[in-house]
Amino acid sequence: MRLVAKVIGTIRMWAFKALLWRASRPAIVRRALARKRIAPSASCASLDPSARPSRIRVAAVQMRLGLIRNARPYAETIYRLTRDAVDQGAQLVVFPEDSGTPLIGLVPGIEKLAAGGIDAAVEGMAGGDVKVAEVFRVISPAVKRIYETTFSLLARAFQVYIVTGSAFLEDDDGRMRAIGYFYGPRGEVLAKQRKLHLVPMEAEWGFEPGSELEVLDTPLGRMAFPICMDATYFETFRIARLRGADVVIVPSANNAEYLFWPTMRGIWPRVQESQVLGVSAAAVGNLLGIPFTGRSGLLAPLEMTPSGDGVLAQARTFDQEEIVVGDLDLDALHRFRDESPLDFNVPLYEKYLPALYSRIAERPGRKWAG
Amino acid sequence: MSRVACVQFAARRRESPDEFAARVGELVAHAAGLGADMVVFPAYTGLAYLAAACPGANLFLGPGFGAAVARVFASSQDGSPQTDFLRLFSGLAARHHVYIAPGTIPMPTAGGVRNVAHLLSPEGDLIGTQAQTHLSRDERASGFLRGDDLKVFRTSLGLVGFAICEDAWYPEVMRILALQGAEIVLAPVAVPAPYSEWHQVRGMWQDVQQNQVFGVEACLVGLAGGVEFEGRSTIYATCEMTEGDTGVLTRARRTDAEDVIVADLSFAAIRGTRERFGIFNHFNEDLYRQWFPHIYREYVAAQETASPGMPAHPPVGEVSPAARAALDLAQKLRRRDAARRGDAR
Repeated sequence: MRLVAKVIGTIRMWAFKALLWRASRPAIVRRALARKRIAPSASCASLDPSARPSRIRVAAVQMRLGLIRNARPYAETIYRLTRDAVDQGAQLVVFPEDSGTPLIGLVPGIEKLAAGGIDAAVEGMAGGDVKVAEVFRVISPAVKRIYETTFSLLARAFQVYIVTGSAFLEDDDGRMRAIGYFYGPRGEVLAKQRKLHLVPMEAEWGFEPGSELEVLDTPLGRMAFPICMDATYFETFRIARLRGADVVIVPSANNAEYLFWPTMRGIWPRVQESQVLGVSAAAVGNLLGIPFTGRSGLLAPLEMTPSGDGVLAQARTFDQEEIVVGDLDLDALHRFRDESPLDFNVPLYEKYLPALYSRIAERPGRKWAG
Repeated sequence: MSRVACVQFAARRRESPDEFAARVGELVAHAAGLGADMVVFPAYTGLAYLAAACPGANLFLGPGFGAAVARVFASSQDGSPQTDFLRLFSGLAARHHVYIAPGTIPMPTAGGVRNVAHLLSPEGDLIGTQAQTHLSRDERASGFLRGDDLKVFRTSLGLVGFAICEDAWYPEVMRILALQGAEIVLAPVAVPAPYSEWHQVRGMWQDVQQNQVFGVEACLVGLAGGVEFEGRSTIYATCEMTEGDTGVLTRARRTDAEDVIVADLSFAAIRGTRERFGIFNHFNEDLYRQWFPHIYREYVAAQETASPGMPAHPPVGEVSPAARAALDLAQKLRRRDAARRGDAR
């Protein structure tokens, strides 16, 4: 009996994967976008790749997350948001963390399965000893195809830069990670960023952190694009800044009630202490009963913002879909750094960093995850 | 549960060390009366003391400040002004049986001055000293030199570290202290007017959130060293532990007047926060090891080549003169106390 059940299980899984592969054909996305007759934007045409621009126009998309069952509506959703951003002159369009997660809707009947929460859904699908990451592994080839095709085609069609946010994908080494893409205006992948610091839930679900922080030169300036929780750690921004980043982009998705002060514990202080310009794209909406809140915005050191609060532009709401568009003044940033230079104490850091990080097990209240 | 007090000390012109002693005595007595186990004063409390003790010494922050401090120390008759300053607070600590961190005092060292914090036990003994490790451009112009060590000190409240003035705006400081196990970080600061709440948020508020420790920020107000200071002393905990999720346990009422605030620190609660959402559980050591500390070295070298305007920091020895002086003083105070106890018997 056991063997029969196993064989049936294998056949069902094989059929399911074949179905997903068919449902994620690039042609579906291509056709959906071809119908839109996208006209390229001129916003990036005048960029000089050999010089830092004086200022750039950036859009942070406060995307509403919700289940999406097919490639076509997914491509149309991302198209609509990109178009609205590009219409306002954006040269760079940034999507939030988990921008690929709505594609969990590819799993038939996922809502019913997830009625009791994601963990319950996984138990119903695969048994109690399987981690949530394994469900994302099954759909990963399909999600990856839809995700990459959609963002690449849109970047090329509009001729703008796109930071995709992130999707849970199987990485090249077979591990499950949250991965973000930076696309150039020819639809090419300029860099991929793996999330470097996990929230406890992701670790419990079986996801793993990456270990490289990408800092890339673009005609829009030198940039890094770590993900959400990475902005809780000053180390992320320090390394980006010391490696020359002027702009740090943080796609995020916060599945908690919106509270002003707790949300101040991410990109805002990081921008201040490392003297960079920040772009925060937050997810809103609800995915399988998990609500997301956040206020997207463009951030700068206090001294560079008109009201002295570190905010250049900000979403009006924390739970509605919006697009925040504004200019980042790279010349002003460099003037500010010259006026208020950071004065690092290298001998001090040499004494303690990174050696102390291995001593954290001694900290009271510390609990090893996993 | 432990209760800490933060004294928002108002520096002003005082005619004598006695006048200074009378005022800080009242403030410590007030804090002790509120049930405090530890009393924290702001940065430059010692500068206000020196100004009262040596009228006419021209202790003005800016070029020449370091030399003026050196002259004050060189011309003092019996012991050093530091000894007198600490004797005053040591007596108050013992009288009220409280820990006292009497802010900072500028102390001469080879080639300049250091801004040094002290921690005194409820018996009046010196537990340790900490020199400021990061300097603003104005502080460097005033002749300040930085320390290159960060220590934590054992107290009955928990492990205590210092983030002095500019140190509160370099996240490395709080991280190094927290990684050494600090549970309470005392921040004696002095920020020139005008006051900016957001500047405070980007300092101690976020340092506390990022490291899940308690923060005690004592701000100097009034006039010291010819500079007007403003601030709003605050005792911080993580958002989860505070009413309205503000991250603030209590704060001074005004930014320009003397005040004493107290708050209870619940160590069980902060450990609970760390267990529920332990920021330190998810460090990415692989990433940090790739870049720390050489990325700082390369950055500083590149800066020095690009803009050679600012002189390099002089190297610091293993035990700084400030630390050495403190150790000697600790011994002296202990001997004095022993002698006194002998007399009493």
